[in-house]
Amino acid sequence: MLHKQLNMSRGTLFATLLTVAIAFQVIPGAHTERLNNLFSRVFGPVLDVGPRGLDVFRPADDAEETVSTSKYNELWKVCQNTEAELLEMKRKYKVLSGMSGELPKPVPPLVLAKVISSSIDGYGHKIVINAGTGSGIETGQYVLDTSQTSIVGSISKVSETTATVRLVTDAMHIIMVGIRRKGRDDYIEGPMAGDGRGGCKIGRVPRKEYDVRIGDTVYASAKRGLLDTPIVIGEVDQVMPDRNTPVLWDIRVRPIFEPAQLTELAVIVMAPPEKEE
Amino acid sequence: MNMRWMRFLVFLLLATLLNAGNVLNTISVTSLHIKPDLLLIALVFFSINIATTDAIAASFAIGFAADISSGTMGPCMIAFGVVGSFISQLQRVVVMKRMIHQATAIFVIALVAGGMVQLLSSFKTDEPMSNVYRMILGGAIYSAIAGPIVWMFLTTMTLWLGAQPRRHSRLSQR
Repeated sequence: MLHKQLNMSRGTLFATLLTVAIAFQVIPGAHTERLNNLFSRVFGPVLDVGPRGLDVFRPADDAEETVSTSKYNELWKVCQNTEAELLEMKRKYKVLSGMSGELPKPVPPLVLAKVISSSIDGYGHKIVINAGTGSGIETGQYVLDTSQTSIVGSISKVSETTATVRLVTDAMHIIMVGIRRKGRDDYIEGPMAGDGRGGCKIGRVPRKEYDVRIGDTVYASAKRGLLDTPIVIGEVDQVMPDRNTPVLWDIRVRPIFEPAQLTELAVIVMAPPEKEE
Repeated sequence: MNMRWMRFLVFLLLATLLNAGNVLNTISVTSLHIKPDLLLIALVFFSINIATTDAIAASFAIGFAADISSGTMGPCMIAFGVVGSFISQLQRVVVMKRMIHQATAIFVIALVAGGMVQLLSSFKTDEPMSNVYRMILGGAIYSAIAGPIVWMFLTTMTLWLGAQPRRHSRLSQR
């Protein structure tokens, strides 16, 4: 028996192990995370065997037959983001048309990071990447997929070498978004939260004032210090009157990215507003 | 017979990889991806079937394995260690020969340990969790359903691990 081999009583063994456990509990996560990261790095390939959670999300299925679905998705995202960028440039042009100075194109600095591990289940939709404060990453920064064209989430936790990305589909993730229909110049603003099941929902949009339809594009709103130009997240998948508050819309959004295919992400590491000045 | 700890650690590593990896996603249910908790089933099994002192050490080891694969160190080790040690003290009064008893024990312990883990996790990290109650309840139900099957497999492993299964007779303890 173990206590005879170690020459200690059951009570002492229990107290010793409980003390070790409490020590792990009390030590700050920044230190103990190294053990978790080591485990993820060493056994990552083994842990990755098998399906990775959510099923495929697709954009509107009106793709031309002349291109593959993946190519269509890529072009669709590029097209939507270009339109958003064009709108932003038009607005800036109006404001600055009387001025002689030139406005440089806002190209946000990006930090590329590989996905170390992902946890997509009922508790949350989170991804750990291999870049942290050492690369200029801070909590709240927006994260793009590898093609750098659609927002997948934001940084929720960061250590020196790793960071946790909370996906927009996580039930605890909230982001300000704008809904825009093709051909229109205005956005309908509102907060979007994940539904914890692979989609998102937008609330607080009055039915009387705003017309929202299936297929409208959803963008992450520009936010000072985090994002200069709206970037696409997905499209409106379902629109119905809110059950509890019928004067508001209950808008369901289908993100454009596929969690299972996220192997490399780009974090937008814009300088905070006070540093810019 | 003495517990063969090196073999136990190999078994624990394999169980941890299986529990934390994506393989179990193939049998996950609902959009919340609820899966059976293999480490929790192992905790209940070893706590009941091996010598009390070994059960205490095994419980903390299983908790450590659950922690290291979950991303937060401490909560599972405390919860599994305390719960496993407590169950090991009940060996003389609890008989787990029937599947329904095994499933019930796993269900109850999954609820208790799951609640403790979430509570301790909330002290450790300020990151909010969603669907906590559904996940704990769903995981407990699924673990209880899968438990007796895993239990049978673990029973065949006990001799290899050097952990002689206890005889389930209260008279024999007298």
